[in-house]
Amino acid sequence: MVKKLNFENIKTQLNAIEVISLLEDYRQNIFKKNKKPVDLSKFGIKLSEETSMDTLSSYISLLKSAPIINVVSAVPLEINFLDVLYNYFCSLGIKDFLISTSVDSSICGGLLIEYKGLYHDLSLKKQVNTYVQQRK
Amino acid sequence: MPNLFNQSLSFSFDLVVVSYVLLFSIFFILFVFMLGYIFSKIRTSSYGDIEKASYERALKIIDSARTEALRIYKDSQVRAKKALEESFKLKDSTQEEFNNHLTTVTKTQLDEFETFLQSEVKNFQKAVSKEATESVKVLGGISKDVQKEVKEGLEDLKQTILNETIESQKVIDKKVEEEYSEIEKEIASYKQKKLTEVDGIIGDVISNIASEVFHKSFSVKEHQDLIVAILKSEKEKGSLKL
Repeated sequence: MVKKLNFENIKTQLNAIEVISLLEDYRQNIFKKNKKPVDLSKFGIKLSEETSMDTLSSYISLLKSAPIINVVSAVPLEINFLDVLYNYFCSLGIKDFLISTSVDSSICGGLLIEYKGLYHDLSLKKQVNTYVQQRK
Repeated sequence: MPNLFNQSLSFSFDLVVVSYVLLFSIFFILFVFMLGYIFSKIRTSSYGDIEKASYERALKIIDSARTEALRIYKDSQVRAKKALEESFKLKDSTQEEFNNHLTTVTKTQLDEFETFLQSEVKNFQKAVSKEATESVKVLGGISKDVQKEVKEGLEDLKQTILNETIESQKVIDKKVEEEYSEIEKEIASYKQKKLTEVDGIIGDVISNIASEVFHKSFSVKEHQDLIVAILKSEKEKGSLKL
């Protein structure tokens, strides 16, 4: 039985990769007595002696298969700003997703969003080009 | 009686001989005239000196034919007389009478023949003159016809050249128009291509300027505020569907 992951606290793909790495380490060392304690409770994962291998594998699989919203911005975004983006995408009805961020200064400002193959250009560059085209 | 019968028979024979000779001479002369006439007809195709020469040659042929006819006639007369003298022995009076008669007949025949010849020569000269006149008319007519045909030919040639010139001009005009249209299309295409390039360059320049301006003058907070504003606007418009 896979417990529900707290995607709100995972948010980014980077966080997910980190969580997956920790889970895999824990799975490999699960039978070792002097294994390092891992606290993933903030992600909805409570690891104990009773956590089975299947449960760990399910967590890993769920994180790896989670849908990713790729966001491209002109400047690196602050970590806190990811909450704004997360809440915004949740308000659009998307659930259990990860956010992947990258930087491309050529877009001037705004952001590019890619999700499940759909591409949305909300950049300033596009708005400037649209403005130039309309002025012809 | 037998002697008289023989004389009459002999005389009749002589008359027949003379008549044959005369007929032969007449046919010969007519043949010569026809030859002359045909010769003159052939020669009428030319004009001027050729006609004159042919006319003179025809007259010479006629004269020689007449001389030859007279000579043949005289020879036949002599041979007939000789044959008569050798064949029969006539009395002097009868022979004299016959000779006189023969002389009279001969003279009459000669006169008639001379008259006939003169008449034929005149007719021939008249015919030749008429032919010459008609030849001149025909040649004149031919000259006019040729002139008319040449004139018509020149008119046709002129019209043909004019038509071909007009057609050539039309073809050239059409070709020039096509070339002009093609060049216009190429210019329009080139213009559109250049405008697109310029627009791209302008867009890039503006984007670069905007990028430089936003990048340098905007802080991260302002960038994030801009993103929030954009997302809020997209949500209100309902255009962002994930």
